[in-house]
Amino acid sequence: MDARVTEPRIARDFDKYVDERLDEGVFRVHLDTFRDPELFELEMEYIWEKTWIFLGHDAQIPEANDFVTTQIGRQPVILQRGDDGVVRAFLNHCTHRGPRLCKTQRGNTSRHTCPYHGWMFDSQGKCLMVTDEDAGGYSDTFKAMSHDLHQIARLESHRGFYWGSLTSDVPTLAEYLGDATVFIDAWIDQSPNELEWVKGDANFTYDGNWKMVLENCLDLYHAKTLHASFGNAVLNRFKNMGEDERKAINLDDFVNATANVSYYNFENGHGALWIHNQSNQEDRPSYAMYQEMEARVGSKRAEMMLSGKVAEIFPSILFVESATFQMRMIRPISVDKTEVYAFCLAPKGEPAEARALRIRQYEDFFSTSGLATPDDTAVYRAAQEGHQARVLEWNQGYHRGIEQLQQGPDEKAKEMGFNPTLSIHGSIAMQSEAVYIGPYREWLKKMKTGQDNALAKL
Amino acid sequence: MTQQEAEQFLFAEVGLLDKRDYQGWRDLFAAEGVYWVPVNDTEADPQLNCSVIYAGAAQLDDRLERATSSYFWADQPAIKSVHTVSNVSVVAGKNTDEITLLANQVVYLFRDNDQRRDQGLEILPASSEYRLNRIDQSWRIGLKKLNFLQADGYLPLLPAFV
Repeated sequence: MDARVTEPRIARDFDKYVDERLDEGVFRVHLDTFRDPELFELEMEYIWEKTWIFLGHDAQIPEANDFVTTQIGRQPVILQRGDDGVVRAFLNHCTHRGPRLCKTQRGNTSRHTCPYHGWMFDSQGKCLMVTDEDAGGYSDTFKAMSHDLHQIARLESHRGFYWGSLTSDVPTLAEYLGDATVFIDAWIDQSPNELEWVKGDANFTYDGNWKMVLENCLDLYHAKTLHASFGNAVLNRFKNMGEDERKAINLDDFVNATANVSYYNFENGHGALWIHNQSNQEDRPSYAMYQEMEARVGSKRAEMMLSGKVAEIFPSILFVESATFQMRMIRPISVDKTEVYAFCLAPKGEPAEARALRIRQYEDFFSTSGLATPDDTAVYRAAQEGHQARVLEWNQGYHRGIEQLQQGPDEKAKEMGFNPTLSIHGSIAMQSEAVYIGPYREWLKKMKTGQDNALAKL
Repeated sequence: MTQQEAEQFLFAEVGLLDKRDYQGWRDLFAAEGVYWVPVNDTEADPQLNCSVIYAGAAQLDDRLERATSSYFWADQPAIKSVHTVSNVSVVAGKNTDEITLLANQVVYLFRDNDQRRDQGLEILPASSEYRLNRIDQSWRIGLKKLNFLQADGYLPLLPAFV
């Protein structure tokens, strides 16, 4: 349920923000979606607080009483494994007068004690103590209330990946993720023992709208330009070093357009890309376990598991395998400020040498001072500043690949047996931007539905 | 190495960074030298945990290439730095050809000619540890480890080397 006090509001015509005329070859998004602070507030209410938001992974809270703190939109959330082993999600808010109970990013505690008046809760969220309750002169109505921490409306896991929702009015997580799980599972299945958390965050905060990082992760078009210095460093490594030493993902695939790529949209705003027949796959850390993978899941699936690929699960989480694999949780702060909580997951049982290679490749590309991610961060800020040109309503940003759009699955999806709503297949040189159609259709749908429901309450 | 020699070494080292003489700074490293900036837990094993930077020879060269290329977009306009070094102590090494220096540093960062004149000054206090090796009569860096006070929090965009 939405707990906001209901006040009159002016209805917006959200159709004005997404201009989809595919028969005319046009797909545009209004720049106000990146720069209007009021629209940002509505996005929090109509999108982030009305759908499944990624909260964390089992591997971050392996022991009883382990917790991580996160947000749904901007609402503070604790994801904790109780002393009974069950994972729950609570609002990080003392029932009494509201202070945040967990102040750290992560930790382990069997008791949450509010520093203000001393109310105490266990790791299952149950209120253990209302300080000086007997002498408190409380009414019977108060005594009949539950004082337990507020559990969020829905919490479900897909194989150790937890999503939560502040409203119960959502489909099951399985329905929500749909066939996008084919991508998520392509990482989970890399080890028969699933994934573990490699510590050492690569978080970054940028002066730009939350949708910029969402778009960026599905964008191959920027690689050659924005990541030229990463590409050059890698080419130098290939020139100067022996085969055993170079161990980096080269960008020949981009320069020489030797690879093909499929882009997909799924129901509920999810997007993905999958690079086929990439060169030097043997330099990926997961190659160390390739034979085992192939024997377990077959060669086609194993090849997909090893490939460069990205899955965007709308609106909160990005699974990115460029140089290597990274999870990126999006945390919007304001219309022009976003925090990305980024961490490394890796197959359990990976040989030590492959693990060290994975960590170095991760730092190469993704670190806050790596050879690539800082350039992204800088360009988000530049774009946010450019978008202040309010004379302008539209970018020309989403037209690449629009002629290659097809309804339903492409051949690669058919081979793997999954069903996207839209596919785009072509040379890597196409570097399609039409993949954003799915996420923005969902944006539009959520904004309209959210507004309809809010107005209906008046 | 005397206290004064240790301080002079460190002043010269960070001076090269402040002058953006990255080739000169790179040349201070021994062949097996490592430049390490940990994240979160500064004591975590870098072979099992991700760092901000964990650079051996190959990665140092990559970063040097990036620092001097025209494609280091995050460094445009260029990030200028001022380092101050204090609390220097000299710890004897395993033999006379190895020594450890401990020091505190404050790194100040600011961009030249940024269109946004209200850009913030970034201030990064850190503890640091250097392992120096004497090679052919001169001291070379076997390890430079920089532990930012903010290692577990927000880090701004950095120049190629800090």
